[in-house]
Amino acid sequence: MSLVCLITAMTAEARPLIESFNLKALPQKGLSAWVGEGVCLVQTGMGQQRAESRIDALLANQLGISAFINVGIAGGKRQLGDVIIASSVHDQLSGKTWYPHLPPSSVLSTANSSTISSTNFSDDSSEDAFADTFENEQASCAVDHCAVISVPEPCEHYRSDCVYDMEASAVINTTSKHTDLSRIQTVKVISDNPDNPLDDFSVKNVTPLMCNTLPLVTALVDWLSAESAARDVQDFRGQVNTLVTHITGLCHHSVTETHQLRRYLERFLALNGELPTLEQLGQLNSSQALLQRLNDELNNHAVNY
Amino acid sequence: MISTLYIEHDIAEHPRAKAIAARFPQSRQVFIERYGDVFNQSAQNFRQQKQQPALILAKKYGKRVLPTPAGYHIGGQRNYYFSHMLNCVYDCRYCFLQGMYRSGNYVVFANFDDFFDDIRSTSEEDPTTPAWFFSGYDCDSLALNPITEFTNEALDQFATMPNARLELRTKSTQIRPLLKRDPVANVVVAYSLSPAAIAEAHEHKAPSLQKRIQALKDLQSAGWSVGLRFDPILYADNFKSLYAELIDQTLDALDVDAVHSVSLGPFRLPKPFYKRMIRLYPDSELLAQPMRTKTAMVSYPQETEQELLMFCENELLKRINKSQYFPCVSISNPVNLAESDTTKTNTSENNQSLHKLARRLEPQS
Repeated sequence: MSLVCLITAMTAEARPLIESFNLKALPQKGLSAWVGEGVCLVQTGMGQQRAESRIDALLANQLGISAFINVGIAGGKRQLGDVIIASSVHDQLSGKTWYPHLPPSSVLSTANSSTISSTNFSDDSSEDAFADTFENEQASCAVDHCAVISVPEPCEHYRSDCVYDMEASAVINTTSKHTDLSRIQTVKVISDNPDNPLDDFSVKNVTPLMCNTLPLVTALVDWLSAESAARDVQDFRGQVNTLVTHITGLCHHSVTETHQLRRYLERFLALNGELPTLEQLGQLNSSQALLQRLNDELNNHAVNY
Repeated sequence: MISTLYIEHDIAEHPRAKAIAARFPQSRQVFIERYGDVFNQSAQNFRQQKQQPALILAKKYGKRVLPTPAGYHIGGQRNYYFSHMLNCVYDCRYCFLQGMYRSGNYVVFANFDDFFDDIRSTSEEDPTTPAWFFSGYDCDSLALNPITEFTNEALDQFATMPNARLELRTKSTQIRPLLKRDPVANVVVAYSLSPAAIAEAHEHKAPSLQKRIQALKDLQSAGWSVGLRFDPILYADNFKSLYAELIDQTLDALDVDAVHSVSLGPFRLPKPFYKRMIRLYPDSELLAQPMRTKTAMVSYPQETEQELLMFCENELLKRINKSQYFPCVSISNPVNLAESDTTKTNTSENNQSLHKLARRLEPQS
């Protein structure tokens, strides 16, 4: 089962999420992590280095994480408690910027907004209708978006076009080595602003503020869990990898042969809709013979339309 | 459909960019420095983005008009291509754009005027020889026209450039802007065509063959010059019946003598593109078929390719004049395309050489 991983820095940020998603502690020394149905959470501690090392430690557990949401507090020239989704994440130290592929508006829209349906570009009945469809089939985004700038130290240079945090860039930098940018989202809630500067900030306020993020985080978790393209590929590869592991356990394959076997089985599955049974593969006493047999099968596969 | 609009600061105040953005009043707008910051960043998933693409409005700098590879032409001596848009609204499983770009988002270069200026000056470099300009390498020429209104502007411009010729390569049936006006003599609308069953299986979101043929018919009836592009030719055990039917069906619907040009090309992909496409679509039936990897290119086994091309060429030449026919490779030696760029890619598989290699392919649509 693939998991959506929530990433927070502080305990106070994690608490409402753990409760909301009914997560149970993952018993592992040195790692504050929780897991539940389809969701896990890691609390990294403050700052970029901690974020990177804790995420790496979590990924080493091979839990089957396929998407990440960094959730936490940030400062900005906005109302306390406002929730934003990051349209970009900028690391102030390195100058690097990431642009996550944002979810469809429908995911972020309020319940009464219209839903997006896919446009059929083959419909030539009317161009005007096409254009109307193209324009109108959009839902309004109830959740605002803006740039998130990650800084090494807390700062009070509040701006209206971005918010400041301390971990988002480390999270995206680490997790983008594991998955693509449509499966890494950043959600922030405003915890300090010019009227309520950091000096007035209290950790006590974090948990109630974080509750504001729950509807968006839940919607993102649902969307990321259901997203079909990634799931299709993951399921497809999962099936193939299971058989590869089984076969290589029975019959030694070199690394190159294992790669070859994997691709042959992928092709077999793509062409036939199912993998070969062990009976079909015959005697598994020679990797060369097996690969030859599969290659012959693939070359002789009928292609008809 | 477009939930996110990325807009370059440099183009944000351009009237055309504003007009396009105004068509998406509810989309979120994200302002960026350069389109490449979003379009070319790593850790993107083309397949995922294709399901919900963003639209990037950008300004095209540098060379906007480029020469086509040697040998690529439909009868002209001077041949160029340009891309006012990157990526396509359709999702054809054989398309090289899947392997060339990291992103499935659409880029529209809103400074059309700069393209037209470059086209005009290029065509005027040699006033005695007509210059051909091919649109549709990196996008479909017509499909996004309701949003960009590129076609109207291009036709207005080419109508005033007697020494220039334009090919609009497409699978789209968005032909109303053409039918609403008098034909422009130096413009050819060229349709990419595949047998109906193959189109249905692999040309996702594209109009059916029937609709494309109807569009060709309507255009020709209205006096427009049309072209037929049978490219890529895809293998099937029953390819003879599929392609014979396709050729007959298409040519029966048209005044064959009035067809401007017909071209034919095999399925081929640069090797790095093919590898990327397999990573994106390991479950694709098309990509799972037996292929030949020869140095820089992947294509069908030579015998298969030769059989396909010779059959189609013979069928075509039963119905059209040789003067209308422009094969994309020499049919008697179809491997020449695969081998021609070997040295470039062997020395360096950087992006530049990949792009050069991609230019050996047919336009996308």
